[in-house]
Amino acid sequence: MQNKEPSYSEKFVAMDREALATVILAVIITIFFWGAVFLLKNSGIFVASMPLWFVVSCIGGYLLSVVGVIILTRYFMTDFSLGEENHTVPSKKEDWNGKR
Amino acid sequence: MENVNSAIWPVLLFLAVLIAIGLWCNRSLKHSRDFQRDFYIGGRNLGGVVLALTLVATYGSVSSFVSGPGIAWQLGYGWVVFAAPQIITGFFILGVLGKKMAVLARRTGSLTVVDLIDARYGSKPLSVLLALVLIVFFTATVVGQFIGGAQIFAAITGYDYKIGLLIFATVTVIYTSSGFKAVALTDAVCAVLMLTGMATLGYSIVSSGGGLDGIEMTLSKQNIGDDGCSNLFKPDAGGALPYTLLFSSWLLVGFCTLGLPQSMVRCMSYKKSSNLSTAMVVATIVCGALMIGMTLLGVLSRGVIITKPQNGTDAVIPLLIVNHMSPVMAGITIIGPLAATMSTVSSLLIASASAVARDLVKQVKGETYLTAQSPAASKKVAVTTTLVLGAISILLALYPQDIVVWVNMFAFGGLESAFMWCVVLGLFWPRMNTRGAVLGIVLGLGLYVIAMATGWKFMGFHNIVIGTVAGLAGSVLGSLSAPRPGIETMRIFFPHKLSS
Repeated sequence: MQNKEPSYSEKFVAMDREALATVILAVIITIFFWGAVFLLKNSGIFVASMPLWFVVSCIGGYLLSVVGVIILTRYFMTDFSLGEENHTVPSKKEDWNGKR
Repeated sequence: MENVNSAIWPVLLFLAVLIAIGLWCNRSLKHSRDFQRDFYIGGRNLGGVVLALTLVATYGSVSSFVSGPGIAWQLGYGWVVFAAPQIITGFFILGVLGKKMAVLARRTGSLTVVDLIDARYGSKPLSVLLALVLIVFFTATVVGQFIGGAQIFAAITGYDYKIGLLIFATVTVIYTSSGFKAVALTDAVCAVLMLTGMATLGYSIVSSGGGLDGIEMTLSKQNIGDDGCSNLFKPDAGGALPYTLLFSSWLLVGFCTLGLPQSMVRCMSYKKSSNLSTAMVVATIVCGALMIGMTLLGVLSRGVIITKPQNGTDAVIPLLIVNHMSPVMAGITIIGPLAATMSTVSSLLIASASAVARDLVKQVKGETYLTAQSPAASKKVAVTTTLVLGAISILLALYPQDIVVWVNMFAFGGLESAFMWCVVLGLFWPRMNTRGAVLGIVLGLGLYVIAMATGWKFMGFHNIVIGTVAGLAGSVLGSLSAPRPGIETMRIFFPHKLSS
């Protein structure tokens, strides 16, 4: 997707931003959920034989989560190489290759 | 009961599939050149869907299938509010920690969560402490899962508790000893079967209860509150669930799931950054559906089972399966809770094995001792440790000890209190240092355990709130009272925060 691979340090800037975006999404969902519970809990309305507050907060909150995470991954998460493995067994690796 | 015994056939088929996956993964391990990396972390080769499914299957346990819905039967829709934060659990840890842990694990050659903590802080007491916390809580949880799984197996098939336990626990331990890849792939199968079990259960509840309308009618006549309406329809269950407790659950099973080491280790196990995005979407869909779905089914089951079972609310789901399903359907449905049990156990067991055979050995004998091990020697140690820890857990489940059952009760929040700030602040706050990490764990975990053990409550909040706040305070105060991390740590963990 990106033309140029970011440097090690640039990746960290991107990762901090992605983590922040994730936290913001989670907070938005939390606010939506509790808003729905407190605004609708005394409505007495039933939707599909279930209380309205439940349908909006729990089922609606679930759908909001799914839509939110699709937006998050599509517009806020970036694609880059996760880096080379710093092998814990570097020196011996060749020996074992030889033996096999 | 005789007739119900045919419920065993789908279960046996399921167990055979898991064993086959284990054998297949074991074969590919034979050609491994970096055995520990392949065994403990699956060679960092997981794709997005498997990553999502193993995360959710590990997270979803037997209590998601039995005790949770049982409480929902008792309290009604309010208990779904308690479970609801799990709509964020699927993406939260992956989005916050997922990529950074993957990059840093590669950079530092870390295969376990404690490896990464060791690379960040370089403190032997801290690494040993966390490895021990992990082993104690994981073992207690494994035993608790074995007991729960065996109980529902016995209740539904009519076979003896011990026979059921020996069959499915042995299968779990055996395939776990084939390494992380076997654990992740069997988890993926388990996640799908958990969804199937939920679907068959849901169909059976709704049809036996006379449709959603019929169930609403039945529910509206039960548990009538002071205002003349059923408490089952209220978010606070008519006062049985204080709002402070419901807010706390957003920490316990929402935000603080960041601190679960069994989830963290999965952040180090996938292949490419695009896998992470896929996993976040899939995990959110599956985790929310399972957790909200199973809890909702518990509420709706009150339309079918009206009087509280003699053996308590844990018996609601087993009774439904036995009395309202054909034997074959019952067999398919019981795979759900068994899959939930086994997928949790396998992940905790292999992580405990890594804590013993890698983290503790590294601290005691030094890192060179581990790196000098040949693949064959590594394999022997890793597999033996897994089998021995598994055998100990099976024995403890056959002969349950009060202390283990008791530790299991606060293992979930205890792991969160111990690992969350140490890892989250360690990765996002450059100032965080060893003293902060240790003080955060001692205060967070310590106060959490003391509050749980004494039954002390603050304004009806769950004690995880105490653990989280005390842990944060300890981490910040401890860090500020000791020097900043050295330049080497900064270069690896905070390259973007260096001024030069």
